[in-house]
Amino acid sequence: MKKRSGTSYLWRLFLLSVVGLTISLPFVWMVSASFKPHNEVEHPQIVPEHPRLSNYPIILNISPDPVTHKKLDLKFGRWYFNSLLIAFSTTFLQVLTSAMAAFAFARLKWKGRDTVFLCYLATMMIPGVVLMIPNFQILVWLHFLNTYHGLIISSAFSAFGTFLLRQFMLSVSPALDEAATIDGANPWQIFWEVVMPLTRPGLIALTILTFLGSYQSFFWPLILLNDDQLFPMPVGMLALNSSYGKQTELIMAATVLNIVPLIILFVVFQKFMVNGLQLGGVKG
Amino acid sequence: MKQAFLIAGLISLIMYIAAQTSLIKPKEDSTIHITWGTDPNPARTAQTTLFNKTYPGIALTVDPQDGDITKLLVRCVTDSGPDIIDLQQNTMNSLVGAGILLDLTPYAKQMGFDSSQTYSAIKDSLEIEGKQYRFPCNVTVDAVIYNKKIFDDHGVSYPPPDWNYDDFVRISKELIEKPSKSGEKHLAVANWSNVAFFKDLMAGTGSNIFSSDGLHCILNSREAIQALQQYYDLIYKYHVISTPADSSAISSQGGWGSGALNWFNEGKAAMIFVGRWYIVQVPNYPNLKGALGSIVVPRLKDHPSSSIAVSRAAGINAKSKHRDAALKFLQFLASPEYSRMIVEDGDSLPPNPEVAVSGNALANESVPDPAFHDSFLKAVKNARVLNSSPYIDDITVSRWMQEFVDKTDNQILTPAQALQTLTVQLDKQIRINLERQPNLQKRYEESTGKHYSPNWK
Amino acid sequence: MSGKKKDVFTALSFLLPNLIGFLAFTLLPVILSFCMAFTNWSLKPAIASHYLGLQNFIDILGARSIQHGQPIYLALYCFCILALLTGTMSALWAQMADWKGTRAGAFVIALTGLALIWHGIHTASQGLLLSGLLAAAVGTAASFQDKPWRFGTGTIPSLLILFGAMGTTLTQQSVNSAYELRDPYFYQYLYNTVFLMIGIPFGIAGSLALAILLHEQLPTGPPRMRIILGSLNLILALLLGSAAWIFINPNLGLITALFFLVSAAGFAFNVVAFRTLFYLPTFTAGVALMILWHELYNPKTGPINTGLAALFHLLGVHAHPPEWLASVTWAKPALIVMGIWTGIGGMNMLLYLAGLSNMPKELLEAAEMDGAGEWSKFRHIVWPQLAPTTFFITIMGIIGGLQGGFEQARVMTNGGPAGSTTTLSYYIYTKAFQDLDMGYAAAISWTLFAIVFAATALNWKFGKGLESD
Repeated sequence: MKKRSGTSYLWRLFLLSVVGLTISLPFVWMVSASFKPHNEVEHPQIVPEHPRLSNYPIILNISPDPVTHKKLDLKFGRWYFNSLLIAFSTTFLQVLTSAMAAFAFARLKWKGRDTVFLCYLATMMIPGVVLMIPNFQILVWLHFLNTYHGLIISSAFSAFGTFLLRQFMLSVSPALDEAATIDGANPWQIFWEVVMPLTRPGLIALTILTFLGSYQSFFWPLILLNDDQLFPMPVGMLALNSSYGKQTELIMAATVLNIVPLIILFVVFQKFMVNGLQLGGVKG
Repeated sequence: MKQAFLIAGLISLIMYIAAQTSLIKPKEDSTIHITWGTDPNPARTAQTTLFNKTYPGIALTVDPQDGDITKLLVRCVTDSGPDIIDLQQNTMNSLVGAGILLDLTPYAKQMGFDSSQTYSAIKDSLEIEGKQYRFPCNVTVDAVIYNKKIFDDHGVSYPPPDWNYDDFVRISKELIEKPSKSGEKHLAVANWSNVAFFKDLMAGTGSNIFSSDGLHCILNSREAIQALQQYYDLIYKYHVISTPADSSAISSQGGWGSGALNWFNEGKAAMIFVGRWYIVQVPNYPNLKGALGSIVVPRLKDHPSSSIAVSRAAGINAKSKHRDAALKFLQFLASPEYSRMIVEDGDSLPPNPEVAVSGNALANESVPDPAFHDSFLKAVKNARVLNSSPYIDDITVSRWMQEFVDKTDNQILTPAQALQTLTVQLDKQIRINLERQPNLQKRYEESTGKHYSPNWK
Repeated sequence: MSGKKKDVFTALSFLLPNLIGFLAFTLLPVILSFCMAFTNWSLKPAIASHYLGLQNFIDILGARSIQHGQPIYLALYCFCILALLTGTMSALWAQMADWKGTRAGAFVIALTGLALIWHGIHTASQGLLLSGLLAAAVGTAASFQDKPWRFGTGTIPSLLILFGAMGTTLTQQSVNSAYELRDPYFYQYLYNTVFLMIGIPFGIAGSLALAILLHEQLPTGPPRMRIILGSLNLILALLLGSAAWIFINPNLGLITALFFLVSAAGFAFNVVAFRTLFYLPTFTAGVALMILWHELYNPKTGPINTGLAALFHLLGVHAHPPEWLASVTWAKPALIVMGIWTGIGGMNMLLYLAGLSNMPKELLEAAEMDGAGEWSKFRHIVWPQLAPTTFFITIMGIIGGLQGGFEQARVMTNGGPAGSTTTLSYYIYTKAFQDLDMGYAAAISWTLFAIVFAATALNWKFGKGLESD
């Protein structure tokens, strides 16, 4: 685009700020709701009239709940840790296995490759709801109910990840691994040393997507887990939305705490991620 | 690249090991561990603690549910369900049909939790064809709770005893139109659920959903249409109850509260049709202290006052490995100790009527006025349960009823049209269910004595 | 070991970890659900499962007679609908492949649209009116292309459309009175699903616009300048914000202050600040965000309607703001707006950013030498260069859209009011886990699969055409 000079970039800044304002308003509402007393949550005024800090101590079990005058007994720290553990392990397994499978689909020649890949693709188009019972039954057979590994393993293999990484790997020039083969490298060396470094943007994209998906998932962990020591945050937060009244201010406080690690993660990875994506790009 | 993966793998392994080793495992002793599938709200902690203290040797824990039966179903059909199942009324006939609930009849009498131990109004919602499947954790009947401060503010007298809908409309109009001393405007009624309101009116007109043999829907009866018409008129003709927009915030939402309930809490609406469970909210709203009055729902002309009785009730998983321990829990629900706990919390009426003999016995910290609680005892005497049909699941019926009441609310259909269409649709579904399910055909033949053919009348 | 065997062995060693998981947790359940679709399998043990053949699919898609109808009319009606569908598809195809006679075809479509509008006004049918308007608009627009006026193979699809539209409107009356759908909900919910996808093109356009705005650094000058401008904005935020807070109302004050804060961040951290901010909704998506939006949409006390009411008051308009999730008309638009808000700055924007920076600089410079304007540069260079990215985003959007709407229906609306936000995936869920009819639910899933597959395949075909353009 044309080089602009002086102040003509200001209109761009203005537009961006308007969009930024629109995007940030709901979050501002959320944060301010987390400081409101219960009877002010539904007030149209965004800024609380009588702000209170006590919503956070309440969900962290430091002070008692105003309704029951008892401590809520939420295992907030544990749930935090569980969420991170589950998201982290799922992501690790999924990225690793998807990358390996994608390599087999994109880089190796073997009989039946395209048929198997087509199967992978087709399964992405079936609504997941209907697969829930068979899936669950398999976990029962494996005695994986109510465990961390059951939850992690059942969501650690994805056709989508394989598809995404395959597309990225296809855009890496084959001349590079041919050269490596001539130099006497075996497929594992080519995988780790040639293809993987060049697929970095795809790996980062998949890492972020998987981590987010896993960190925010609610329904599957709810069905799988019983023991409140194992819950990730979204399932644990169920306790705040009960027949004792939906305590929006507490839910909002918990949500704020829940997304803090995500925002830190994003701010750290942001530059890395956008720059990384630029190297590859997706080929349709 | 390799190193990055190695480190990531190590970190997740360490986290996993740390998480596993820090789990507090139940001690391996003779204690029997049972689970209770219910919503994990804060009051459950006190209830399970009391149970565990009463029955040493049994350890009860909560298996959290989200108010939907999906988790329950997935777990029960794969034989991994909770021992005790806590359910709303509209899921009972599905769960019985799915063979998930245990028939309690052989145990109920001798262990003291048969349906005669609780209010006769809800007997029908605990049993299907004479077999008992559950016992209530709490019992809800609607009455009208009103805010005396708002009535005083407008100089309107409180609802008279034995009032009818004419009185109701008159009082509501006064509340809306008469200027208040404080200068503030108020709504007459916070309408928190359109279907709940309609069902109360159905109880008031004495109508029902199905014919007694369960083969036909009778929502197109004159009485049922009168009930929905009355609801419609209150919104669009008399303008005394709030429109769907106003009542939306909770009508379609899980989690009881928010929306219309909050207007009442905050003194923006004068009346609300609600069960005694409402008062668990009162401690949050100091302004309501001492301001609450209550009265049974208004009656329709030529009919006595009546509202719907519902209960959140517990049944037992037919495949529970610890049936005896689970049965003890139902015994516990029938005990006066448990009921006293419910009285204190204010979470609806306690299951044991002997604890709830008078307003005095029900008074608690949130609402110390005995007269307030008396109305709920009066209401439970005349309350009714709407029936269900063995040929169609109540969940389907509820879903469609919601859809058609919504359509009336949004003025897409008139009340008569809505109920007639709904009746046709339900009848059609009964027919389809009979076609698809041979066990229902057998039932049909047994109960009617006629031979089943697809063209049955 | 021979070379071939070795190849397979190597491939397996890479594939195996993923393949085992895929077989156990994806393929096996998929096969089971496929088998289920041909049975009456229910979660109720009392119902003996048996093979039903295609009965489930007939129950989902078919119709039954309620009176003595003329089967010939039904056949004609089905045939006309088929003609409409193939006509529309092949008209698109003809346009892409540049067949002869498409301009005349467009004119025919415009005429069909006018006829439909006329008929729609007569019968007071909203659906006819809308589809008429659409056809007229598209037809008229396409009539203005730079091609010769003549008939040719490209006109045939439009004649099919004309024939199909006439046929369906003429036979509809008699078909409607004699036949009813076996499962009207399926079609209603399919309509809902497609309606909710209206947001996709808007979301994509928004992502592209943001990517274009964000892809170059803002030339804010030397660090000293940035600090000065940033602090100036902070001071403005403080001053104007508190002025509005005191003299107008606190909410306006907050919004004013926030605006200047965001621009201050823009001065200080340049585009990074905005990228981070725009990606925030994607990061927080999930149940919590839905609860948040449910509160925002509260018709009485929610901030959206409070804002709208203030705006109406300011403009002197006597209108009530919409009732959003409570109203049959506004529930779907509410969900669409939420979807756009959530997705606009997400992965799609990042993909576009990547695409933009991959663009060869020489092309743009050459265009600038030729004196091309901003718009013509976008139209002739940027847009074609971004086609692969757009293509990928569209395909993923359509797959997601057709399967979507489940979480929001479950958390926010329960599919209501009056079923207006129930999508097919939520319908599958209610059939399986409320009505316990797994066989039927599986059959709907596979019907949906067929639709998704057809849509993707079509896209693939047309998209490839676009790309090579």
